[in-house]
Parts: sequence; C-alpha cells; structure tokens
Amino acid sequence: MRRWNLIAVIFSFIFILSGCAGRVELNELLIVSSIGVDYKKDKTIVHFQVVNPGGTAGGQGGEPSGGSGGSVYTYTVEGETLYDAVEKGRNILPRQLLFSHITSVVIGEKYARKKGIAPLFDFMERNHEVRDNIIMFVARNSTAKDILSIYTPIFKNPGESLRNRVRLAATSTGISEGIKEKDVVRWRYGEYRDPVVQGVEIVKISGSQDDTSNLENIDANDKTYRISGLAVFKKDRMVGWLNNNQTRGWSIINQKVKDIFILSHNCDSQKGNVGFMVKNVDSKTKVHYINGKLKYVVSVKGKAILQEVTCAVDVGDPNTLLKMEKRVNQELERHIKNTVKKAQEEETDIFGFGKLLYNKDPEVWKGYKEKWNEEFSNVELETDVSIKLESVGARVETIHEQK
Amino acid sequence: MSQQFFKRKRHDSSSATEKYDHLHVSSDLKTNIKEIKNILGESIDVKIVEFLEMPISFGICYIEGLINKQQLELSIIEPIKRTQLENNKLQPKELIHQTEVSAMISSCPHFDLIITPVLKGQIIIFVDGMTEAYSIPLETWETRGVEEPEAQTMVRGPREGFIETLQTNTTLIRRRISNPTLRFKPFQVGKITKTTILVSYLESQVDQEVLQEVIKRITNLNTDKIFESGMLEELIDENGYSPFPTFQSTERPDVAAAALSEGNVVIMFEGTPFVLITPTTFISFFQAAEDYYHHFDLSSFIRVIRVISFMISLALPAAYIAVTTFHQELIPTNLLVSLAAQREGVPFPAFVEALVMETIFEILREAGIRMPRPIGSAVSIVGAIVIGESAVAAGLVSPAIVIVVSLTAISSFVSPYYGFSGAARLLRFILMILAATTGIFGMIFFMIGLLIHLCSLTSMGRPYFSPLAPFQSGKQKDSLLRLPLWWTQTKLHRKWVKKS
Repeated sequence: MRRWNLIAVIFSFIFILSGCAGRVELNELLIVSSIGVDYKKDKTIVHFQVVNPGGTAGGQGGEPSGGSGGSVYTYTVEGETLYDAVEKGRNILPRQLLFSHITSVVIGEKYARKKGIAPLFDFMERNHEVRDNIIMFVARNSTAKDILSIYTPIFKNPGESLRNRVRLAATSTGISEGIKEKDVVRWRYGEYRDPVVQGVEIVKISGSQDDTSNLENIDANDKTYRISGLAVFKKDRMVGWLNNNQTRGWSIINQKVKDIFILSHNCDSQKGNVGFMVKNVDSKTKVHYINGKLKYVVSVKGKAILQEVTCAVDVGDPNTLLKMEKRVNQELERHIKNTVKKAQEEETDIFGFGKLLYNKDPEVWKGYKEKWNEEFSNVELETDVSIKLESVGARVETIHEQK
Repeated sequence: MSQQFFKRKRHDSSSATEKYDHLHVSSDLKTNIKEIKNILGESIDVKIVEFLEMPISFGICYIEGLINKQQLELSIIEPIKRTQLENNKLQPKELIHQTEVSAMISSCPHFDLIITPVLKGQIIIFVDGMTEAYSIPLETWETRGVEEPEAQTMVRGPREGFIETLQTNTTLIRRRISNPTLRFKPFQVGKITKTTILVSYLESQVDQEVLQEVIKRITNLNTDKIFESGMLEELIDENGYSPFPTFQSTERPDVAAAALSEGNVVIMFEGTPFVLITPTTFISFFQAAEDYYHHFDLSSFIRVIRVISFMISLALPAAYIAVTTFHQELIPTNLLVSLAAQREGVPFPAFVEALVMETIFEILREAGIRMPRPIGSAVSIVGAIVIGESAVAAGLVSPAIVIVVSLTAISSFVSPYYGFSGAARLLRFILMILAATTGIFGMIFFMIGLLIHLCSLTSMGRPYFSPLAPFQSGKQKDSLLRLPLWWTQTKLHRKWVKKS
C-alpha cells in the first residue's frame, strides 16, 4: 500500500505543481503571420502582421462574433532595439503574440543596409517560439511596412501568399525552397560565408492596397508581390542586389535549383528566341590550389527540354539541336560568370568558396582567412557546363518552319 | 497474485450449513412428506402429491413449471399405479423399477440430496417402507429460442447466439466441436442461489495449470449470490482495480468454440447468454470472430482500424485539449486559424468544452440504453439537436469539439467487446484532466503508466499483454495482424497447393 500511496502523491504533484502553467486558449492568442523590420532615425520599427481568424477562416463554422473585418492587420511599434519594440508592442496589441506560425520575415532595405541583420537574427534565434524555416525577404527599394500593408486576393493571409510565391517562382529564380532563417544563420555564423536574402517588391503601387475594398477591384497587379533578385550581404550589412540572371547563377552554384527556365536570344542570327526548361540540374564546385593561386571550377550537369521556338530553325535536324545545346550551355555559363563577377566586385563570398578551401586544405585556408574578402575577388573561375538536350517537347517541327 | 486474491475476503461466511443436511429419509411416507413440506414451506409452485390408497403408498414432490408434467403422468405415475394393481405381491423396493424411465433414477438417502435436485427441476418419489427417496430428472421449462446475438453482431458468420439455458448452450458448442475430449464440468456457486456453472475445456488442448487455477478459484468462492457471468468475473479476477477486463465475455458459440479449440477455458452460466473465456490477452479484444471468416488482408486492415479507433476513443479529446491550449505550434497554420475562428466568442476553455460535451454524450448513451423502447427516437432526436446543432449555434461550444466528441463516441463502439471500450471510456476523462493541466507531457506520462500497468496485468496467471510483451515471435501471425491461415498449416497443405 505504501507504494501506491507514493505513486498517488507523485501523480497529484503533476496537477498541483504545474497549475496549468503555460496554458493559453486559442481565443487568447494573436497569431503572427509575418514580421517586418524597418529603420527610421536610429530607431527600429517592428511590424506585426497578425491573423484575424474571424476574417480569414471561411464563412462556415459557427459564424463567430466579430467574424467580419480584414483577414490580417498590421501593428507597427517603434523601439530602441528590436526586443524593446516587441515589448512596447504589448501595450497596443490586444492579445498574447504567438510567434510559432510566422511564415515570412520582411526586412526593409534601409534596415538591412544601415543596421544589418544581426539584431534580427539574434532575436529569432533566441526566441523559442520562432521556427528556423521561416522564409526571409528584403523589401526591394521599399520598406517592410509597404510589403506588409497589402490585402492579397485568393490567399486571405498575405504571408502565405508570399511563401507560396517563392515556390511557384522557382523556375524563374532558380531557388526552389526559398532562403530560410536557418540558411542565413548557418552561412553567416557557421561557414565563413556571406549570406543572401531574396528580394520582394510590390508589382504596382496604387495607394489603396491596404484597404479590403481594393479586393473588389479586378486589377490584381496592384495587390500582389514579385520575388525579385537577391540581396547580397557583407557580413550582416546589405551591400547590393543581384539581378534575376545573377540570381540563377547563384542558385546553380549553390545547388538550390531543381528546374530552371533559360531563354536564349541568339537564334542562328535570325530574329526570335529559343526557350529551354533545364531539369535535374546538378552542380559541383571544386577548388584547385596551383602555384599559390586559387582556381575554382564549377561543373554543371543537367537535362534540357525545348519549351519554345519563335524562329524558323529546323528542329528535326540533329545539327540544330547540337547548336541549341551549346547555346544553353553558353547561356548558363554566362549567368554563372556574371554572378561571380558581381560578387567579386562587392567582395562578398556568397558561394561558400572559402568554406570549400577550408574543407580541402585547412592549412592553406589559414593563410587566406584574415584577408579573404580581397583574395576572393581575385580568384580564378572556370565553368564546365554540359546540359544535354533531352526532348523537344510534344512537337518536332516549328510552326514557323517554311515548307 | 492468486494468493493475494484469495486473501481478500469480500463476504463473510454468513449462511451456515442447512439444518436438513444430515436428515435421513424415514421409512414412513407421512414423516417424509411432513418433513419436505416443512423444508419447502407453503408455496404455490411446490407440488406434493400423495397416493395413500394404493397397496404401496407413495408420494411425489416437484416444482410446477420446471418439469415435464405429461411425461410424469404417462411414464411414472401411470406405470406405478398399474403394476401395483396388477401384481399384489410387488415389494416396495421393486416398485420404482416399474417406471418407464428407471434408468435415469438415482436414489437419495439424505434430504440434502433431495432438496437441491427438486429445486433444480427433478421429480422426487418417496415410497412407503423405503429408507431412501428417488429422484428422476425430467426438467423442462419455458425457454426462448436460439436467436441472433444482439450485443455481438457480424456480417458473415453463424447467426446463433447463446441463450439463458445451459443445456441449449452446451449443445451449441458440442455441435461445433465433435471431439471426445470436450468436457463440461459442473459447479454450484452462491450459497443462496446455488447457480449451476459449467467449466468447459478440451482435455487434449487445455493448459492444465490454467484449468486447475480456474477450478480452484471457483471452488474457493465464497459468495451468496451470482446471477450473471459479470459477477463471477469480478469475484475471481486477480486484477481487482484495473479497468481492463481480463475475461472475454461472449454470447457467440463460434467464439466460445474457437477459444476452446485454442486451449482456453470457457465458463458457462445458467441464466445468462454470456459465457466467460479465460485466460485472455489485451490483443484478443481487438480480434472479432469474423476476422477468420473474411480474407486475411481485409481482416488485418480492420484490426489495425480497431487499434486506431481504440487510441482515438482513449486520447482524441485529450489530444485536442493539449494541442489547442499548450502546443499551438503543432497545428498547421491554416488549421490553427480555422480552429481559432471557431473558438472566437466561445466562453469556456477547451477543457470545459470537451468535458461538458463528453458528459452530455455519456448521458445520452446511458439514456439510450435504459429508456423504454417507444420513446427512444425522442431521445435520439433531442441528443442530435442538442449536441450537433444548438450547442454550436448558441455559441456554447465550438464546432471542432463536436467533431472530436462524435468521432470519439463512434470509435468507442468499434471494439467487438463492449466491456473493453468501457476502459477507454473511463480513462479518457483522466487523460483529459492531465492534458488540461500539463499538456502532452501529462498525456505521455499517463500513457507510459498505462503501458506499465498493462504489462503487469495477468489473466489466470498468464501475461495479459502477450504476445507483445513478453514478445513471442511465433504468435505474431495472429495478433495485431491476421496473417493468412495457411501460414500456420502443415507442409502437407502446401504440397497440395503446389500440385493443384
């Protein structure tokens, strides 16, 4: 019996000592869907985009009180530091914040350039609720406030719309999963490497995109985003942008890509274009240390599928196909070289070349470590792209072909 | 365990030995009649007939309604009278052999051998000048016919169910197992009721240790009354406080026959269609007789469904409470938003919501069982409207909890054995309290405790959680999955399959 008494006592401790600690009902929570940070006169401005469940969930199910209103609201608070702003936010927020369902974090371009991303990442890493697979964005040529002040059609939750956009845009940007918080942290703090973050911009500013009545308007371009380029960081300060072609080059070198669309402008000196979908892209970067000089070789393999031909070439002719294949390779090579050149101009190692060297030869890396940024801009690059044309699609001859 | 059990005495041995226990049958008929009238008292159904005008006077005693009156008249009274009148020299001791049923007659020199048989439906004949009475078994009484069992229904399989009469029940089993080693061993339990129970087993298959244990527990039983197998189950169970049943009760003769053929002991009762199967295992409550009548793949699938629905009926409301009040990060974002929208304006915490709905459901279930049949539809309509519609429309509970409670309720009906789902029904509430105070941590704590408890249980001294723990690889062919029957067949069978 003594044993059972003991068990009963221990068991009751669970109820008594815990006392429902940490219990929060769903209607006491404010689900944060996006966070934005901006910089203004030495102060940090934080935006919380929170979900209004009544306005987001469909009309079915109980028609809760307060079921009307916008699907999301954005609260803006100002503080000396990021956490200071969050704490001040509690003053104006109606409920307890829940950070575990954040879908995206938007950094204002000014904040990224002036303040750097270190305070933001310190906050996100330190908070136990924030996930590490949140997709990061830099608001291109605008503030995070602008990006978080849009009601989007189709998706009631703009954060979800933004996250979905990343996946859909994978064939044009080449980045299939988006740049996540954990990627940035790993690159910046674990791998002698400078981070990049995807850019986002509003397609067309109409001035009324922060009003639900705007959703009644048929023009969808003034209520949508565009994923645009990559923000390049040096340590944790942003220094510049990669354009879309350079973004593809970056994603190929970093093996972020699954499928990518390549448009070749050169069409046998005729007018017109040839477009390819490059699939199963597999890239490998190797470093060679010869006579005190560093040489990086990027080799890319993959399959291409012909998507469009707008000029009169004989697709049935194997020679044409070989030429096309060559052109795809040239195009990719150009992207890769462009990207590396741009990064070398900015002196930021966004490819992890330093890490490669460290892996290959730590002793040599020791010599470079201190002044790697300057050394990086002098390394030699060689590309070896071999994409095989696998299919010409469902049609062989082009419709432009003269009979 | 068993020793511990027998130490626990639940009843005092109040009723001492009966006063007629050592009373001899007298040679005088009148004394005997007086004696039996004294013992049985004045009851309308006790019939005592004296034939004093005969050369050898005799008396007959029986209970009205328990015997075949026609046969009594034709095969006993008629022949005795006739031979007496035809043959004057007949001796009293030869008289009894003149009946047409002389082979069934047994003699009773003591009154204790008379009273119990007569109460069970035998006919007692006292003959003047003899110091012993004679009992003739001519029991017949009103019974209902063999019908389809109501508590355990199935799609494919025999439609017969046990009834309240032991004799019919033994026939139902004997017809399924025509094996010479099938035994039905009678016992009487209950000092007041003297209920007949049969311990049945296959001598060739049974685990002797288990059989001895069963017999020991039944003979050591110290109780006044037993009316149903459930009462015996509780009295001879070694795991007194556990909510999990360690006897399988069934009203299907095919299930009982299958259990016998597997070497289990089946305890049958006079007066109830439910028989007990022992020893049993946790897994066997997920196994329906129908599993063996359907194709193995379907049966295996259904067994997995049963295990899942047991888990649902045990833990779903608790999981809902834990996840929505402690671990919101576990819910996919869109679902969380939708759940939060449903909870807008609901005044109670999720735990109270769930508790209220569960309690309402339990009330409705109990009302559904107890109420008179004609008003059944009224209760179900009110129940459906109260739970399904009005509570949500009035904003008292969220629609999600209605789904959770109904799913839980449906799942609790899946187990082929009613008593087993009762365990999940009770433990569900404890689990809900734990989930509301400590979230998933509390649930896991409870689940581990439950698992330890299940592993510690025994049924007639055999491990309850076997063949999972202790793990027996040989028995896995028929535990959580029902693998093809030919896997357990002999080589001969496989040869035959190849040839054809």
